[in-house]
Amino acid sequence: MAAIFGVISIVVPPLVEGTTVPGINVKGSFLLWVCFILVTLIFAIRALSDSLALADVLTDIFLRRLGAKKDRSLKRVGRDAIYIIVTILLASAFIPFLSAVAEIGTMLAGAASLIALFLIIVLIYDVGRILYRTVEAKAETLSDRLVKLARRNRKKKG
Amino acid sequence: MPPETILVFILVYVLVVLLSATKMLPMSVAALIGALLTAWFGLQYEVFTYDEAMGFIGNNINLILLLIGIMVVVEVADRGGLFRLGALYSIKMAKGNPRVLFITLCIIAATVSMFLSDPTAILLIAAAAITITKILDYDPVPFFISATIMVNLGGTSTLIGSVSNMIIGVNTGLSFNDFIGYLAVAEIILWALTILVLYCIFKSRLREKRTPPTYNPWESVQNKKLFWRSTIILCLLIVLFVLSDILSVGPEAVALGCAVLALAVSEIDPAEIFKRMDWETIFFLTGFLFVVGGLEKTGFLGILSTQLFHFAGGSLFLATLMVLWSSGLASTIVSNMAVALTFTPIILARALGSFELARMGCALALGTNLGGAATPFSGSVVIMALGAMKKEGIDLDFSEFTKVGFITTFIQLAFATVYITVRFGIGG
Repeated sequence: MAAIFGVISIVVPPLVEGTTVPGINVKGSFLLWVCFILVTLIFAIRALSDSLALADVLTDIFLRRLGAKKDRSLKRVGRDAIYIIVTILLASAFIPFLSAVAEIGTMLAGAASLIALFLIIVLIYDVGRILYRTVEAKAETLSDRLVKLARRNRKKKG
Repeated sequence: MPPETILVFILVYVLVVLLSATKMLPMSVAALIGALLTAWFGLQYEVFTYDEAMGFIGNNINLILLLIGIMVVVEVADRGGLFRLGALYSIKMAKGNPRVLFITLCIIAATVSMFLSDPTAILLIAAAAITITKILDYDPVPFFISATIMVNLGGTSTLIGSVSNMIIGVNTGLSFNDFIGYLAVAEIILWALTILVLYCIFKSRLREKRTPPTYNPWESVQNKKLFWRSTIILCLLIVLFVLSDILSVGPEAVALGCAVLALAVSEIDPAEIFKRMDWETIFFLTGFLFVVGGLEKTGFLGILSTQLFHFAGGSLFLATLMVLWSSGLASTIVSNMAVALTFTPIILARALGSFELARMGCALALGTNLGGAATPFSGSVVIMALGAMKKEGIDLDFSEFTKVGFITTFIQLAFATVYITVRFGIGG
């Protein structure tokens, strides 16, 4: 839907070029463009949040297939970093050989680069997700402690 | 050298460090994978030739031979029962007083570790600690944690005390006598300081005195002929190390000569000795020498060296302190062998006089040795101690070890800073 409204925001406003909205004295094409862009943004934000949830599930399935355990510890961040480095090194080692293959070499090298890039993005996403949850958990613990401390102080004063 | 090529070699280095630190693979396998990748990329990008690659090992063969020689001699001495006898005698002298026993065990742990490799030493000391604490019904945690920290500390001032010292000694030319001359005083004070700190931490847990059982330590020596022969060879090794400067013989030749002698007179099947040697360390060292050799060829370590001296504002004294602290902190996470292998070329990249080189070498030796027992991830010695405890049903909290480990490591590094300043001065 975001894409459809994006296209509409490009196609429709030129159709009302030259008209001005009475009362507010704003060009019709500009007003329509703003409205469509707003709708596009709303759909885009929703789509992004939905895709994040989907990416979560897909990343889990994908990494489990790679042999990663279900834990969310910082050790997994280390493992992800290892996978990222291994992917980069393997791509660096084999892409020169793939591109040397006659006729389809460039295509093979391009495909290998894309696969490597996809893997790296998934792994970086997983690292970000784990770090975010770790920081979130720590922040919650800290805020709980501060609340307890504040209550204790209030009781003492009271 | 194009930056992308340097980046590839840095990534190989980081990969080996991460694989070892996360224990995803045994550290020897991680280093050998790193060596394979270094060779692959080095030849692919024409960073070095095949002959130059072989030189990474060939130029350091004396280090590997020194390590093998020491391992053989110490293995024979261990089988002769020398270290066990010493430990049992000292424990007997404590007469069941937990505080005296605690201090005695700390001293034995550090002393034994001056000759044995840290993993072997901790196995021996852990066995002794388990026996004592079980018989006398003492809280085992203070004994275990302290013994682990002291095993890590022992041998800081000797060339053969740790593999990182061998790496530094062989590469910087610091002899057995140089190590003793520069660092013996520091090690003695560090022992006293560390025992004092550990005693203050655990004082409240070392209370009730109990009567120890009577035993004859000599009963632990099964083969007296082997005991005396292995003890003589170990003494000979130390005497020859001391005289090696006068005799103009390299430490590797002394170690190998004594190893051959030990194998010849011990009457033990050599296959048994070879089987119990620490091949994990030897293969790690071989693989990591390759990884660091590749990184050095890219010129990256030279850049690091220049940056180090640049940050120190050209002051060699500040650069020395930076080497001490950075190697110490790096050793809390990464194996101290890897840290020593990485820092040695950084130091050598700068043309230093013998005094400055000795100062840098000593700072690196102190840093790599002291950082080895700060956390449960610092090195094999801590993991083995925790493993031995778990086997006995004692589940030690990692955070408890880390707390004690960090306090002692910080105090030791702070003392090392003062020592380097006083011993070598702030000039340069």
